[in-house]
Amino acid sequence: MSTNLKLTPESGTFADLKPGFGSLQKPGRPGGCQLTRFLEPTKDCAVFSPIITGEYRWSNLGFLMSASDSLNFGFLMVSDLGGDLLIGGYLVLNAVGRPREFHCTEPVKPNRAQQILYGATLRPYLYGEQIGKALVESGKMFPNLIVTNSRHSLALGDLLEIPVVWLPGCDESGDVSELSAGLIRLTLGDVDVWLDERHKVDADSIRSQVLNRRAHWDFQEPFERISDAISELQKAA
Amino acid sequence: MSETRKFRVAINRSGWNTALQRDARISIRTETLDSDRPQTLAVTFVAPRITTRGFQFSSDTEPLPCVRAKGSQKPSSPAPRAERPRTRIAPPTDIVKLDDRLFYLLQPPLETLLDGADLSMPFQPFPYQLAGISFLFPRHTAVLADEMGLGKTMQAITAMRLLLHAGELRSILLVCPKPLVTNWQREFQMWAPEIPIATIEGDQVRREWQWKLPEAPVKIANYELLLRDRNLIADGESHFDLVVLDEAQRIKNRSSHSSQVVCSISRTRSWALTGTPVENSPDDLVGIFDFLSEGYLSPGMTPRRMRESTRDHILRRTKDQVLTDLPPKLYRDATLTLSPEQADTYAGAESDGVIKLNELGQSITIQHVFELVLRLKQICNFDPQTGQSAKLNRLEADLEEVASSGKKAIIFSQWVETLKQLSERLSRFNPVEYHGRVPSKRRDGLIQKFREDPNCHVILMSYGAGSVGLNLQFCEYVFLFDRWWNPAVEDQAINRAHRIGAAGPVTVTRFVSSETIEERIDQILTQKRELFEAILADADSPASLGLSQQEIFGLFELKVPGGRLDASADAA
Repeated sequence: MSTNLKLTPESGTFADLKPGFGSLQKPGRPGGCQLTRFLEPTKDCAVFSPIITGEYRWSNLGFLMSASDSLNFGFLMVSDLGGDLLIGGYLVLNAVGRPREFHCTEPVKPNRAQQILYGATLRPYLYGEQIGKALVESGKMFPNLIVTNSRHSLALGDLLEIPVVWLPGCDESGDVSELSAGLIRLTLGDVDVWLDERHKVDADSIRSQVLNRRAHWDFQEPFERISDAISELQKAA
Repeated sequence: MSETRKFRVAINRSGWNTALQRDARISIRTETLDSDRPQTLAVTFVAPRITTRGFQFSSDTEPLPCVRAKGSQKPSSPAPRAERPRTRIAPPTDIVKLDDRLFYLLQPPLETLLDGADLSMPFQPFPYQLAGISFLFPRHTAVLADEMGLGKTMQAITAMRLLLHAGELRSILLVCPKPLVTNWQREFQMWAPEIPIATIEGDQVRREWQWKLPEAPVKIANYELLLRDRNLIADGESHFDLVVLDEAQRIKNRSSHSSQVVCSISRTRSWALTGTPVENSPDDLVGIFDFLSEGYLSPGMTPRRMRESTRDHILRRTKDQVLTDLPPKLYRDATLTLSPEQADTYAGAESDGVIKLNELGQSITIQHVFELVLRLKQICNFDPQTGQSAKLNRLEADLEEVASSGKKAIIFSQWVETLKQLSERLSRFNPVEYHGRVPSKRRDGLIQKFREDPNCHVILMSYGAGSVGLNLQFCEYVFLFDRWWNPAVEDQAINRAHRIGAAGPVTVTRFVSSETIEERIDQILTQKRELFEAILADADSPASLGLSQQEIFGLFELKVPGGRLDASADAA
């Protein structure tokens, strides 16, 4: 899925654009913007120079992503600290389960107006659109897949080109079968994940990435690491 | 059923009835609004400001090209998720930088690291060994002080292997006593076959070249050689990412040359392996810690303060503590290389002996072959001319640890002469002899002395000695100085120490001289035992699991002659 962005071109014209992959650098980052090729250009897409060879994945969030020869997996966790305080953790692992990046948020608390007016949509809004988006945006690595242990974080999938799947765990409150409305289940070896059925075109890609990872590491286990890392950061603070 | 009650009621006049009877009057009044549109109140809210904090972990730490896993086997299918153990790596307390602490916290479990790096293991490590590896992995200063027989060597090698593959280490120096050099070579071959190692040995020119060899990330040197080459390694240019000291109690004396030399080596990480970190006094530990981190401990520190200071740097497990992980009998096979004198004598004796056997032709009997085998086995024990013995060198090193920890050991040999030689050479351990030449009336006293005298650490026994009632359950270590023909006889000997009700696991060390008749016999017996166990796993080994005629003749590639033989085929 791609969305349109209005940007100021520095060079080139829209007519020069050819289908392919593209990327944009986040405004404000040094070095300007780079583009090689991009997919499904529209008149609202911009071309920037210099042209750098290599493949990049198109993003509608405006941050730089680079393709990698090896698989990377992102793990997103939002913890409820009680008192409406939420804290997010995001860990990027390579194909053998070793860490590449870790990001976490400061505690986030919705105000009273948000609590009232968002109602039942507050959690997906906070987990996915706010915390999840901020964490993934802050990363430099480009994961091929994001796994979250919270149903609410699946809302992030509407904002990214990267597939986002839900891995129910022991922290999940509520019956999985009740929470899985609107989702499809993917059985991937010894891993069962849930994907928003609107994104079911990603199912094959997800299956290939999970089954091709180089070690049979447990997909639940990285969330323990995130939890430990958050605790460590809170102790340090 | 009902009942009637009387209540007093007061009626208040409200005027409603009167009001409702009046005619309604309607009046219209016009009001003018001040503004055209009604005012609205907008409730705006700003999206929460999300502040993030990030940490990147370098992917530039690639292992040296020479360290790539070569054709290693993929582990078998993983256990179901619920059963899969996870040994996590925890940052030690002396790592204070948050980035470094998170780096270790966020590492995958050891099992995943091994699996992901395609590192095969000949045997599945015990859980306590994985805990030991995860203890060593993040530490710059560490003492692995497990009791002898628990696999310090394997844990150290596997930790080094993982760090090399992770690109965290590029150069390692391992220092050990000279008799243990070949043991370390074998252990590396078993547990990390893809890691190139270089053993520093030979003349000075050769050693100078070996010290500078970049293709070998692991270098093995002995303590004595280190003294000779101190100028080469402490020249200010050499640096090791890790220096490991085996039998580190060798440097407990801070003023010794060994201690001074190892402390002068430029290094990033320092590990010490010893089963007896404290032999005589707490100050022994000060000497070891001078190597790990100079000045961290000081002489005269109270034991309590010393314990608190070193808590995070020392890991010690005893067999009792890891009992549930261990089998009742822990076998550690010590495959040794003959000393040069022994090797020469052995080679000459074997070639002469085989020639003579061939010359016998059809008149050869099993007895002729036995005689040659026995003679060669005796040379494997001691060189008849010089008394040199690779087995004894290793045995002495092991017994140092047994005695230091206050434990006791049984040493078996099939020859009384060998036991007498051992008694003389191991006199400092106050051994007692128990064999056929010891008068019966003295034997009970000897067992009692061995059991009760704290300074008596060794009993030297022949395989044929002892009776059903002999009870040596207090012994935790058994050494088979030379092997018997029949595994069942060995088992019976070992079971003098290990019986139902024994306090703990028994560590059995079996000495085998490599590239000799002993190794060939061991291979045949191992195959026979494995075949037996594969078929009849629950049954005890039968007495007839010895070598057949064909196998005995086959030791020297001889054929069984036709017709009946005079001697029995069974050696046991």
